[in-house]
Amino acid sequence: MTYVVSTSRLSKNLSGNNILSDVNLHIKKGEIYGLLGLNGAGKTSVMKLLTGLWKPTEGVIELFGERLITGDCKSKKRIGSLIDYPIFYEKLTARENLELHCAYMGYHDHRSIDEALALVGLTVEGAKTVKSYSLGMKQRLGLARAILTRPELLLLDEPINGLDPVGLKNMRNLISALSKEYGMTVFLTSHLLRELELIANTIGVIREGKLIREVAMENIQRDWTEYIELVTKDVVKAVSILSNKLEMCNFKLINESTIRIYDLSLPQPEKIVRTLILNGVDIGEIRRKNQTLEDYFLNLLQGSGNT
Amino acid sequence: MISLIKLELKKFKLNGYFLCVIVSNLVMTVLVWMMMLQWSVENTYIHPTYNVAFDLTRSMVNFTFVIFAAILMARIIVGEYVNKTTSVLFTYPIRRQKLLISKLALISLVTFVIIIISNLFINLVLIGLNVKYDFVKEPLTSPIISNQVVEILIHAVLKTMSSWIPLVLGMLRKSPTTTIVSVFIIEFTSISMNNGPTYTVTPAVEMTLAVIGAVGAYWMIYKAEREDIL
Repeated sequence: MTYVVSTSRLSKNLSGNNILSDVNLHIKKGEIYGLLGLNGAGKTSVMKLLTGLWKPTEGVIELFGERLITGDCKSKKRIGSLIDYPIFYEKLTARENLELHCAYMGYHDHRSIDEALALVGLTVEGAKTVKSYSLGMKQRLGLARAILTRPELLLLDEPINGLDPVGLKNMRNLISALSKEYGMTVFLTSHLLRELELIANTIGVIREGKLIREVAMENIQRDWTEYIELVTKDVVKAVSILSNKLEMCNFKLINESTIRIYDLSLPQPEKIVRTLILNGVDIGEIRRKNQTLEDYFLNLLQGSGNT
Repeated sequence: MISLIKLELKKFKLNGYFLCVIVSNLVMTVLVWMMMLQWSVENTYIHPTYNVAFDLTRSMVNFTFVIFAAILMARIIVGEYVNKTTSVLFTYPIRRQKLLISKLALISLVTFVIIIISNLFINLVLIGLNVKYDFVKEPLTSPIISNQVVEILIHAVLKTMSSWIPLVLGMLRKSPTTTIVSVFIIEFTSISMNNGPTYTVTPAVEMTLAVIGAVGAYWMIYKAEREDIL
């Protein structure tokens, strides 16, 4: 498998603090990879190392299959990035900022400036100086700059910060579209699980500078999302029937009237219902549910999960 | 490199700078002229010759434009770090060394050229004024001129190099204020070690400063490539 980004034992130490340790990141070509972590977990640090703004204390970064070395700029041409707070030359207009970006990147198709501004909905504001922009507008302009040169790898650090709900939805659509239409590999970070869950193909979980899990969303959805929720007044009896008569063990008591059954492979829901009713258990409600991955990830993030 | 310098000019418009250059040239012309007039009337121990006039011009011009250079460096180089625009600039496929060298080249070139043009301008005006006011009694001979041309060139080079010291100091702390404060300290200290009434700095001092500036600039650019951009 070839990776667009891969790191091995990547560590960063800043004035005595271990900001990252032994991060082994694997981002496949064309995928949308979401890095999930709480504030201060080291998400932005990873981004800064990948763009070469920071130098690793230890470990290796490979971009497009080639090792990143200090002073080597080849790979930078193929990367678009928006890291941290969106920064511009504030006295220049949005358009001038984008023109500068094109010039520095060695990209000479100036039509792409109009396209990029249109994509993020800033066509009208393009002639204003960036100084007058709100955070949300800067964020969108930052995205425009990042995608301007049609990079193969797009690095977005907290791209949804400061966006209103409409902006959020647009951002999501835009990222998926870029990935689909141009085959861009997207690496983004967030502390909002819901947002990542909606767009990412793979999620990496980072905690206290360590990458503790990398999971493909397909697998995780299969493994974790489905369960049957059963609401009944007679929980005790229901539990005994489930375990004795149906020989199930993977279920959980949520509260005094709710049971969640994760063991979906053995008996069909109809069978569960039939058995319970025949044994005199009244069923208030029963339904199959798709769990959001919140519990799973919260456990990982807070460190109570098995790592 | 030239295209990088052009981009710098696009980012940092220097119109205001050139306006200040013109104004300070006029001010300096008037100052030198007044001092020469004073000396010619008062009959002090200074004998107002062309060499005195040109030396005075040179030390004033050098002093002024080294400070101007520091202001440009504070804005164009240190300022990019402070405004964090380096976090964008250094993601481009251009080596940091090259970016910094082109910035330094732009400022140094501008400083060097402005120092020479200002010397020429002020001296020519003085020669013109002398026709009417006659404060220098000696004839203007070609050895005086050729000697001065050499002096102007050498000092312009040395001054431009020593103007890198405040930059290096400012870059150590990533502080434009340090750059500006240190240029004043360096300039006033070296003037206090001057060669008499025309305030020309002793060649030894000037050369030492130039060497320190060159070594400092080299070290700064070397270090920048390996630095973390916070």
